[in-house]
Amino acid sequence: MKIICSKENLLDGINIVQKAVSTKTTLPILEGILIEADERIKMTGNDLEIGIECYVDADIKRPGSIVLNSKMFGDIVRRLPDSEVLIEVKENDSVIIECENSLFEIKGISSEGFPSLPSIEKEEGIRISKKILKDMIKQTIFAVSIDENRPILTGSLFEYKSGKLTIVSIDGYRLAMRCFFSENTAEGIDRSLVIPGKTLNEIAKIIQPVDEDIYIYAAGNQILFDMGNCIMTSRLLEGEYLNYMGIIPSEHETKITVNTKDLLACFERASLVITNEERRYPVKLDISDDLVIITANTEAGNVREEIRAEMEGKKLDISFNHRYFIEALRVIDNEMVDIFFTTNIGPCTIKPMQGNDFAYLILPIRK
Amino acid sequence: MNRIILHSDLNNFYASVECFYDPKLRNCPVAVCGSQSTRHGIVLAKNRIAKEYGVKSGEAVWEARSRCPGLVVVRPNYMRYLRFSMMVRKIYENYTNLIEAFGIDENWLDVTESTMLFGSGEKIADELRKRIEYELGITASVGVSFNKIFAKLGSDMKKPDATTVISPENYKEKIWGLPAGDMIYVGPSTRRKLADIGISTIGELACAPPRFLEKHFGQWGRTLWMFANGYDETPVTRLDFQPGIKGVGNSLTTPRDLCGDNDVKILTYVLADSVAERLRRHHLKGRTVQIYIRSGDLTFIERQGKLPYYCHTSSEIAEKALEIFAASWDWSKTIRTLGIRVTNVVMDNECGQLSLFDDERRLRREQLESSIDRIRSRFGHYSVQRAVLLKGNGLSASPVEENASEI
Repeated sequence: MKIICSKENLLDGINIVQKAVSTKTTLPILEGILIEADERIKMTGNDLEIGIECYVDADIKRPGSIVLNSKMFGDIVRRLPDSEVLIEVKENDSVIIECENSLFEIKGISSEGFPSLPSIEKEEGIRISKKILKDMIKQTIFAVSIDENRPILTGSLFEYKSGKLTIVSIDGYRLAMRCFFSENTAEGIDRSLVIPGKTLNEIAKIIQPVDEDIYIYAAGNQILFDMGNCIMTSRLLEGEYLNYMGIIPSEHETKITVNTKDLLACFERASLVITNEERRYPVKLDISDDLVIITANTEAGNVREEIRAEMEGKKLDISFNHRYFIEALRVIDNEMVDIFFTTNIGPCTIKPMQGNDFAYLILPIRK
Repeated sequence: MNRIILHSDLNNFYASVECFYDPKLRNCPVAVCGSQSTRHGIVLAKNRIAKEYGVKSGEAVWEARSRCPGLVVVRPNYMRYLRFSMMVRKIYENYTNLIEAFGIDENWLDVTESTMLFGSGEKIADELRKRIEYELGITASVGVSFNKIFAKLGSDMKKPDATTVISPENYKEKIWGLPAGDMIYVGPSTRRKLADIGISTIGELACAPPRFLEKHFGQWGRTLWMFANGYDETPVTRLDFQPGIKGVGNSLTTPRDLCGDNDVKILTYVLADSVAERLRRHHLKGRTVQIYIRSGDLTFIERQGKLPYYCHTSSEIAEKALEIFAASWDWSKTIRTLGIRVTNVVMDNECGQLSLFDDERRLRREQLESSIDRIRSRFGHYSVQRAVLLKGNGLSASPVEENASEI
């Protein structure tokens, strides 16, 4: 194999496929990037959970393939001058990397043992705009559970039903749900998948917030994201996801309508006295007469915030983990939101004033 | 200004208390020992006469008897010792509020601010000793110095019933000649390591370059060097200061070896019951369950597992402990001692975060167990028992009830 490729293109590819390269493994080949040269070069990373293939334009002098240690290869290319890079495989899998006045000769591994990505038929896919998918993931990923006791909750539900895509994350203490409906930007058959949180994190990093489409296919317990010059495959989580619609209460005792940014700022200020994350100090909400009083008392100090809100229903005194509110409010773009409360030991739900685009449910702290 | 720290050590505490209760014993060699039938048969304390025969704390009863044929062996009576310890403390409280207990019979007192009222450290020490002997009939050795480490050394130097003053002027001649192992925090393993680098006395430790010690012992090396030079500045912690509890555990050496899953199940419930009760008493909930298994040949293993949530109920702790046990013991050996500890604790009012998976049963179990606590506080520990313990085969005695060893 002998190729010439610009450093910039090469590095773009490396940065993407490195997200699927394992750092801790007993198989040295899995710490490598597979480079295959044909008409273009194709780089592959595969940690057996997630696999990424990425095509990069290059001048192919002689086709072939090799596996290079991802860290070593990445670190070398990153530090090369911005110029053309020559990569050539010599005898005994030794590899020359040459760029301007630099010359490396490093050891490669024969590509034969590199595990291939699972093959998934590109049929009956879901099409959605990259920008919208990226946003939806960012708006739900924080509520994915990290508790291995309920493995299914370490992923997000990805539900596609007659043109409507819904992503749901639940960690046991809160729920984050986002929907998107548009016949123009999304199409496909009805599906319900649970995608690991790690996969969603990586895909959100890889895709650019642009008005291009991404295609999603699934078969068996595997999913494939097709982004044009780059594909990513991942294992899916198996099992039944929680019935999220059953968790969101349909009735409420108290409802407030508030300005999202103002409420977020109140919570962020209140959180400043909660210096010790280990001890879970609550933030108290005292809701009455169109006014919400937010207080926090810790060993470091006290804070009191007042915010105007339109209020319906009963007065309420309720406590929350500030982080759950902050993380939800941060990803809401709407200027105003409705917040529905049940009792001071029941869930509260943040919803848009119109429609059902999102729902953030948070359970309180018992006093 | 130099601090004035007292370290008071009650002489032969358990044995002195026993002799006080039974004056007939006063002129006999006496040793307070655990019960041999439940295999706790070691010497816990001895009086001065027994000491002259060479009876040592920690040796087996039969060893002690062979050294001292007329030895009077007494079972320990922890409630008495606790009571005495409290009464001694009451005397200390007349002189300062800065009292730090070190075990049941030793205390540090910071009397720096009290010297204006009561005179010098030495005078306070003498007065304390006189009052303890006059009011309680037991004696104490008191060390007076300018830091905790030297005060403790002082109380060990002259026994019984004596005051030793180690001042900034005389500490070099008084203690630098002592073996390094006499210093608190220098245990057998540190002592060996010090000997390996040619340090056998406190003075040699003090004169060694701290960098050199750091190389061998890390940070600890410098700390030891500071101790030996009297640079220790750790405060005597106030009596109303409760250090954060890191975990709660109990272990029990059983009257006979455990030899089957059923024995382990019974003992696990006994221990979990005690651990859970103590967690609740301290308003704690824990998330990590550790088990400690020592086999007949005295080797031991420790294993741990994590609960899905913070809890303080015995049923959940016991179930987790049994699960860990099943995964880590193959019964190739019988078991002599079993222990359960719950760590990773938080205050129970902090874990009020409601969860979607909270089930009613958990809440009811918590209520049930705190009701049992109340019943037991009125009618005694054995008024309510798990059914599994009724067929306990002699294994179901509560470790706390039987020993009251917790202070």
